[in-house]
Amino acid sequence: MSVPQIRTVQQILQIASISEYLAYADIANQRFYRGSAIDNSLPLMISAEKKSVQWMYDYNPTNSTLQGTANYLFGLLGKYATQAQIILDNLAQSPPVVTGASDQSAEDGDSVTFSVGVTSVLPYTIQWYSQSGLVPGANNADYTFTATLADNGNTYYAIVSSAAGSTQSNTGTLTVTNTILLYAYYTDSDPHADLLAGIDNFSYQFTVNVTHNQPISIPIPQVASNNKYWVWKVVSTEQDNNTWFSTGFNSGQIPDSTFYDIIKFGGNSYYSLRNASSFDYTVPLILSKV
Amino acid sequence: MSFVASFIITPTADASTFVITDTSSGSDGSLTGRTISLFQSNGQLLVPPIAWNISDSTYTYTGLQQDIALNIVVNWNSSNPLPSPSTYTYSLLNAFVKYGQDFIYGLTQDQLADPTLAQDNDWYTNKLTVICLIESALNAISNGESIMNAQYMIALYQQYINNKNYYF
Repeated sequence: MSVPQIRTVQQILQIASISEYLAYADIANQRFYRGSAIDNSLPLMISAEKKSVQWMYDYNPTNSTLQGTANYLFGLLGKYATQAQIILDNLAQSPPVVTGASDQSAEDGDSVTFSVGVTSVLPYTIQWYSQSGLVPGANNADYTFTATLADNGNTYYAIVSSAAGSTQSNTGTLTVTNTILLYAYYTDSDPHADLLAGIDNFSYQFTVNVTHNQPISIPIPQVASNNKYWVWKVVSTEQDNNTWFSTGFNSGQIPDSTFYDIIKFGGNSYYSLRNASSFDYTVPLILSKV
Repeated sequence: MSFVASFIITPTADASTFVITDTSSGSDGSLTGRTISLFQSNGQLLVPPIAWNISDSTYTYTGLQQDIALNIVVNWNSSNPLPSPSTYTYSLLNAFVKYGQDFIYGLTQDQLADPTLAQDNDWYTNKLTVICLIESALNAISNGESIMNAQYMIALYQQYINNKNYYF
């Protein structure tokens, strides 16, 4: 035999407040869906009797008739009391606990992912936002997209919602760069045989920042300018936007230099040449993402 | 820190009674006394100005005969004429609606005794009307800062209270 649950006046008022909204929502929905007839007077009665009990409770919570009157109010709530109790039980749970998101860095054209971790007793939904607002369709723990330069400095966060409430994640900032490093090595001996054999034991003497889609300026020191061999290494996700390098000769764009074809291995592309006398020149090597 | 006058009003379980609590900050060592003036919506004093001993933090007024909207003005008098002003004034508008609220609660008690009352359309419509007017009187102060409007709402529902046997 079940024991009837005894609710305090305050608990009944809380349930009545939620029931009131549910009852009015039912009427509003009925206008759209034309479901079974709803007693239109019930929400008004709930509002009125809730006020009656609330006013007395505010000024005289020990009034001897208050519990009985509150029970009468509870009786009016009907099915809404059950629904309201479920909502209250859910609200009593903790809102989702969210970890992340963290700052991310990517190069122009790279895929980038912002992530959150969620701990929640109740079912939850995720919505990602950027500084521009809601991101349509971004509803998973991972939000992945292709970074462009226009995204540089943008911020991203997720709001995780359950019936117990919503939690906003930390905000992660995206840094998008347009540069890669070119590794430069010069030597007295021809490195071409090593490159053909897939061997890279070179002690690169310096690096050069390469900006996508812009000619590369390589500062050749004078000591390295006369009859030296050069190796330039970049990651193989870069592609040469013109063909001058792979023609074997540079058609005089860098004086007195002889070029080898591009050799690729180990995830890198190797450009090599023999330089007779030039230094401090700009290479018309223009790279972009593959 | 200079003296800044303020007070709050607290209705009580007794509809005839409310409490004024001095919440002033700062200090003025020359304060000599306070007076409370209860102005009705027509600008007339409800009762002659009331002396409020400067050493008391609260004053309990017990003379409300029915619901009413009031402009409550408190003056703090200082014996030091400088710096001006030598009188500090603070005022609050308030709609006292506890009689109406108790009346509604009484109607609910009547419903408990006779649940069929709630099925009587006229009876319940009149109850809802009184509730709306009470709420409107409160909103006239909290949202509109108008004791004229608040008093108008009170006067409307007072008819229902005065003629309970007709309306209920």
